[in-house]
Amino acid sequence: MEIIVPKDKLKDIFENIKERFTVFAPQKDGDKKLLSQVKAFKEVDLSILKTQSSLKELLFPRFEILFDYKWNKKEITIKEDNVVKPQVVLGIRACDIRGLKVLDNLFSWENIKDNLYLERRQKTVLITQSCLKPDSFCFCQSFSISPVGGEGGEDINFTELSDCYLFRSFSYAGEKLLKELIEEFSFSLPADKDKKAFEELKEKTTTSKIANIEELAIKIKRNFYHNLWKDISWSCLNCGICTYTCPTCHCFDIVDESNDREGRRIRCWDSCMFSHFTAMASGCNPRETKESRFRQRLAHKFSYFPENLGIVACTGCGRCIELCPAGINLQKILTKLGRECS
Amino acid sequence: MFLIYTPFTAEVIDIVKETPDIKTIRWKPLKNELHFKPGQFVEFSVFGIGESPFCISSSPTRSPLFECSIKRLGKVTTAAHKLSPGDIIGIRGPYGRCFPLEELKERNLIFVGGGIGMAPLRSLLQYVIDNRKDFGQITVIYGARTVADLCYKQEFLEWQKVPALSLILTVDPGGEDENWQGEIGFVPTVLEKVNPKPDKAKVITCGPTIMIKFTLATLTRLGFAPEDIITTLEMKMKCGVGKCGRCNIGRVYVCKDGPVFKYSEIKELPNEF
Repeated sequence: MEIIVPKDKLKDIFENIKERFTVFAPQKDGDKKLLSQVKAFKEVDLSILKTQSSLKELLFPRFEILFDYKWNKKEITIKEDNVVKPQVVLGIRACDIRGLKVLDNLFSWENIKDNLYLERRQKTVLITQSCLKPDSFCFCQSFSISPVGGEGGEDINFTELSDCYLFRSFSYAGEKLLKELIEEFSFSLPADKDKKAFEELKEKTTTSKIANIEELAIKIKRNFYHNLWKDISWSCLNCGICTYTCPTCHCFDIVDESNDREGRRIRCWDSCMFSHFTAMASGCNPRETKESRFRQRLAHKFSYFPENLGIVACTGCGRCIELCPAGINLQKILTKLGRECS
Repeated sequence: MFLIYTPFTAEVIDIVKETPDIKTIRWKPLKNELHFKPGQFVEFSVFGIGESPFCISSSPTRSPLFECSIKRLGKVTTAAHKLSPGDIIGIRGPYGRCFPLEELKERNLIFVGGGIGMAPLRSLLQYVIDNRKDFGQITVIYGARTVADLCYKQEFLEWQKVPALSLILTVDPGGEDENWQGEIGFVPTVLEKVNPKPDKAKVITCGPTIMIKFTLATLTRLGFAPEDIITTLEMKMKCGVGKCGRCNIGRVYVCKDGPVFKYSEIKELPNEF
C-alpha cells in the first residue's frame, strides 16, 4: 500500500506513533549521530544519513542481562526477567535492514533460536527512509540493496519527494499502520506524477559498486595463505571499531558479575579483532597475529557466513571505512582482493 | 521466554583429585534429565565466576551421575577446583557432535591420549567397555608428562581386566619414578613402537596440539587413512550453539560441527589450530 503525506504532517504521524510505541530515530548530540529513543519530534534528525551505531544495537544490545541469580548456602535461584516492549524505529536505511536479515538468519540458524533477539525483532516496527544522497563510503548496491528500500525486511519505507513524502508498506504490520494513519488523517493515495517522481529518484540514486562479490567467497578460501593479507592488515590497530559499528558483526561474550550473594550473567559484544577473543586458558591462541584476525573477519563475512547461511555478512554501509582511525578502506580492500587473487 | 543461555542446576556429588592440577567432578542434575553421547560437552557454570565448556568424561552408560575432568588453568577452572560435595553448579547442554559410535562398531579401536586429553577418550572407552561385545580389539595408549600427571589411575586395573584390551601407559622421559613399570617416551614414539595395524581399525586421539600433530604424522606413516582417524578439537567457546562466533574455523563452528572431527575433515579446514 502507498500513501502521500504532506511534509508538515510528518510531525502528526510521529505524535500518533509515539502514543502507542517507544520510538527510536536518528538524532544529533554535538558531533555524535545517534540512533536513540526520541520523546519529541524536534529531536528527530532525518538529515542524518547514517548513525554511528547501527540498527543492530536496538535488537542485539551491546550489553544485556541474560538472567539474575541469588544464592543462599547450597541453593541457587535463577530469575529471567526479559520483558520486551513494542518499539518503532524510524528513519533508518536499507543497509541496516539487510544487517538485520543477517542477524535473523544467525539467531534462528538450524532452529536453535535466540529468543531474546527474535522476540525483540518481532515486536519492532521498522520504518526506513530512502537514501537520495548516499555518500562516498556507501557501496550497498554491490550487495543488490536498493537505497530506496523495498527489498523486504522493513515494514514501511518513506521517500522525500519535492513537496510531500511517499509512504510504502512492505508487511502486514506496515500496511495496518498506514491504514490507521489514513483513517486518522485522511491521507491521499499517490497520483501518477508522484509515482513517476519516485521512479526517477530511484533511477538516479547510485552508490559505488564492487564487482563480483560472490566470487570473493572462493577467492578468499583459495588464497588463505596469500601474502596480501599481511599487506592489507598492517595499518590495522585492532581497535575493533569496525566490528562495533558494523550492522552485521555479532560475536559476543558471556560473563558473570557478582558479589558474594547474588550475581547476573551478561551478554556483551566482543570482537574478533581482539587477541583475547580466541585465547584459551591453556595459553594456546589459534589467531595470535593481527593478520590472522583481520583475515578471519573478512573471510567470515564474505566466505564462511554466505556459505553457511546464504547471505553475505556485509551491507556496504561504509561505517567501518568512515570510522576507522587507521584509514582502512574496505571498498579498496575488496577491489584489491578481487583483482589480485585468482 | 525460553533462553538458550540459561543453565539448569546440578549438585556436586563427589570429587576425585586425579593429579596435582586435575580434578574429576561428579555431579547430578537436580531436576533435569540429561541425555548425551561420548564426545559431547557441557557449559559448566560456577555461579559468581562464569561458565566454560568441558567434555563429559564419563560414559552415558554410567548416568545418572556425570563427570567432568577439569585442569586448573584459568578463572572458572580454579573456582571449579574449590567446589565441594553438595555445592550447586549450572549446566547447559549437551552440545556438539559425538564420536561416530555406529562407525566404530565391530572395529578394532586404538585410543591415543595425552594428559587431560584423555578425558573425552575415557567417556568413549567406558562406553565401549560397557558394550564390549559390539567392538573388536581395544588398544589404549595413554601418556602424561610424569607419573603424577596420569589421570584415572584408579581405573587402570578395571581397564586391564577387560577382555582383549591392552593398556599401554607412558610418561615423558624424566617423568618416571622408581616404581614405574610402563613405557618411557613421548606418545607418538610409543605409538610407533606398538605399531597397530590399520586393518579394520579406527583411531581416536586427543591431547596437546603438539602431540596430536606428531600422532597424525605417525598414524599416516603406519598406513591409517584420514577417514579412520578421529580426534576432538580444543577451541575457545562461549555460547556452545554456533552464535557467538569465537570457535569458528573455516566454515565450521567447533562447538556445533565438532568438537569431534575426522582427520579427513580437518585437512579441509584452514590451518588455525
